[in-house]
Amino acid sequence: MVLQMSSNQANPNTYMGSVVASNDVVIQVNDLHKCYQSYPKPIHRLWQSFMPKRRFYQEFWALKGIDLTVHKGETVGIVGKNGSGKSTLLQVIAGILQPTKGSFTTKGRISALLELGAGFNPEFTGMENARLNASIMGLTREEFHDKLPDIVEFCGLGDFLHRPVKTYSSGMYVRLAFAVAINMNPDILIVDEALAVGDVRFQRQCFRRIEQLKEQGVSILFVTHSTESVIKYCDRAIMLDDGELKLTGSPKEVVQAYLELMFGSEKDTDALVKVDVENYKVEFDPSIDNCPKQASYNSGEHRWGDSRAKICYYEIFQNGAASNGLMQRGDQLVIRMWSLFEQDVDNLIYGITVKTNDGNAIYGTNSRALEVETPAQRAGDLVVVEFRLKLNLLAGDYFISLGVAQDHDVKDNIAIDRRYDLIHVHIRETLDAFGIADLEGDLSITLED
Amino acid sequence: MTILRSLYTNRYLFGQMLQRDVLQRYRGSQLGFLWAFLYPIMMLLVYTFVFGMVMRVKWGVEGQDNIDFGLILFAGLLCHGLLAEVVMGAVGIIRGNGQYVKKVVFPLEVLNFVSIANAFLHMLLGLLILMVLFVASGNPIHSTVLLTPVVLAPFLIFLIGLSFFVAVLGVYVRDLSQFVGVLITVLLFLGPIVYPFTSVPIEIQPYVYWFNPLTIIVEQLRAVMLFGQYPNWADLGLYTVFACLMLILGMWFFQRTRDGFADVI
Repeated sequence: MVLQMSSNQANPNTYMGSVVASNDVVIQVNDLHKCYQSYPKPIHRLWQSFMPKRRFYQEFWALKGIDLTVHKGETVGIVGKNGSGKSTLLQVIAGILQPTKGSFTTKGRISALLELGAGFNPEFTGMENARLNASIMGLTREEFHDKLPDIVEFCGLGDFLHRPVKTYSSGMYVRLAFAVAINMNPDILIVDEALAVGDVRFQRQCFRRIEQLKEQGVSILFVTHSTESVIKYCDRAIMLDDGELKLTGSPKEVVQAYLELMFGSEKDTDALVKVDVENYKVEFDPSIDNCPKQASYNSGEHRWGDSRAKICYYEIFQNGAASNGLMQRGDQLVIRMWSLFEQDVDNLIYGITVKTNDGNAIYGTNSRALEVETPAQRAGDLVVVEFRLKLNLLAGDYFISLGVAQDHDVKDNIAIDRRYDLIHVHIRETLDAFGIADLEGDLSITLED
Repeated sequence: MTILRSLYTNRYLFGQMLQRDVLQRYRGSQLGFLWAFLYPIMMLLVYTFVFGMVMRVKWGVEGQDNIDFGLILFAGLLCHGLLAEVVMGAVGIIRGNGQYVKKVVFPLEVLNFVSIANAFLHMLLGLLILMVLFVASGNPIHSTVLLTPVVLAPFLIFLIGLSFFVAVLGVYVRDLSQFVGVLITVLLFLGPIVYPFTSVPIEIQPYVYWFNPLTIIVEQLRAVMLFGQYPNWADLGLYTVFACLMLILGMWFFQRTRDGFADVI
C-alpha cells in the first residue's frame, strides 16, 4: 500500500530558476515530462549509464508537460482514464520517480498512500512495520512514540497489530497504511486510489480524518475513479488524458468533462435523438460480438456459459432515445438484447442484474420470476429480449449484467451466456440526496401547538 | 562520500533495520537467537572432532602444530563465510527490495550496510566462540589478540566496496548469482583456508596472495589470534590501500548507476 515518503522535511527544495509565486504554494509543477525507458535487457541500462550518447532504449512518454500549482490547505482531485499518467504524476511529486524534463518544488513533509502492500515487510508485525515506516519518513523514536496511540486507535486493528502483516486482509493493510501515513504530521498528503479497498465505515473514517487534515492546512492530492468523492471532497480538480493536462477547474466541471471523455461527448447526450424505439431497426452481423461497439460497453465484463446461444448485441434507450450510458436518475431505461442460438434450447430464462460499483446487487429479475413465457428456440434463431427499468438510483456508477440461461430441475439453472457487468451506466450528480436508491424522500417541519 | 553521509543521516533507520534483519533470521525458530551461538559452536566441535580426532590432521607448519587443526580452519572459514554472505547478499539486495526502489523514497545504500553489519555481527560471535574454545583447549591468550580489529578493519572496508559493486551488477546482470556462487567456492579452495599458505605451489603463491582478497586477512587473523604473532604490517597496509580503492570504486559505481534501478526492476 502504502508508502510513505519523506522528502526534504525541513528545507523546501527549490529548483534553480523556478519562482514560487506566493508563500502558500506547497506544490509547484512546471512543464513536467516523464519518459519511461524500456530496455531489451537489464544490462543495456548499465551501458546507458556509461554511454549517455548512445540510445539503448525505447521511449514512452507518460507525462507531457504538466503544470500544476497547489496551495496550502487545498485538496486537488486528479481524474483520468487508466494509463493517463495520474499515478506517474503522483509518484513524481512524491519523489519516487525522477522527472525527465521540467521541474517541481514541494514544501514540507509528504506522506503518500500509493499502492497496496508496498513498503511493508510481510514477515513483520504491523507494529514493527509502522515503526519502520516512521523511520523511513524521518521521524525520530520520540516522535513515533508520541504518535503511536493515534495510530493504534485509528487503524482499529487491536491485537492484529502484533501479528505478521502477511496474515492481514487487504482491508487491514489499508487501515494500517493509512493510519501510519496520516499520523506522520504531513504537510502534503497524496492518496492514490488506496481507499477503495477499505470497508465503507473505514472509508468514512478516513474522509473525516482527511477533512480534519484539510482544516489544519494540509494539502491533499487525490486520485480516484469515484467522481462523487472528487465533487464532495476536492476544492479543485484536474483531468489528465494521455499524459497531458486537459483541464483544470472546479470539481464539477472537471468531472463533467471526464464523464464526457468516458462516455462520448455532451452533445451526443443532450441532443439525444429521439427514435422510434418500437420499430427501431439496427444492422449488425449476429455471428460476431457487437457489444463492444457501444459507448456504454464495459471491457471489464466477465462472460461465461456453455455458449449454446450468444448475446451478440445490445442497445440501450433512455426516455425513448438511444443512450451512451450517461443518465439522470429516474430515467426510463430500455435495454434490448439480441441472442443468436447455435443449438435448439427450451425452458429458457432471460435475466438482468444491476450492481453498484463495488459489486452489490441492487436489483435483479428474470423471465421466470416475472412469469413471462419463453418459447423454445431453434439453432439459427435471433431472439430479441427487451428489459424495461426505471432508474430510481442516485449518482454513481452502476453495472448491468445480462444473461441467457436454461431452467433446470436440479441445478436451478444452467448458464448459456452470462455477461456480468456488461453495461456501464453513470447516473449524474444530484444534490438533494446521497446513497444509492432514490427513495423519493421528503421532509416537512411543523410546530406542535 | 554521499553514501557515508547518508548512512550517518539514516543511522536510526539503519539501527531499526539491522535489528529487524537479525531477528528475522531466527523468527519462528524454537531456540531463536540462541542459534547465533549454537551454530558456530556445533560447527567448531564437528571440525575439531573430524580433523583432530578422526583424521588427526596437523596444520603442517612448524611451530603451529600444537594448535588444533579445527581451530585454525575455523578462523579461515569465518573470514570466507563473511565474504560469501556479504557477496551473495549483495547480489539480490536491490532486486529483492524492489518496493524500496519503486514505491518509496528510500536510502538504498542503507540496505547494503544492514546486510554487511548483520553478517559481520555473526562473524564476531564466531570469533568470540573461537577464542573461548581456543583457551578452553589449553592455549594461552596472546596479547596480540587485541590487534584483531586492526586486521578486520581493512577487510570490512574492502567488503563494503565490493558489496556496492556486486549490488549494482546484481540489478543489471540476471545470471550474476550463478557466477558469484562459483567464484566464492574458488576463493575458498584457492586460498589458505583449508590448508596452510605454504602448501600452495611456490610458483602460484604470489597470485594466491595478491588476487585472493581472503589470503592476507586470514593469515593475519590467525597470526594475531592463534599464533601470538604481529601482523605483517607492510602487506596489511597495502591491503588497506586496495580496500579503500575498492570502497571508492564501489560507491562511485553505485552512485553512477542507481538512477537506472527503477527502469529495470
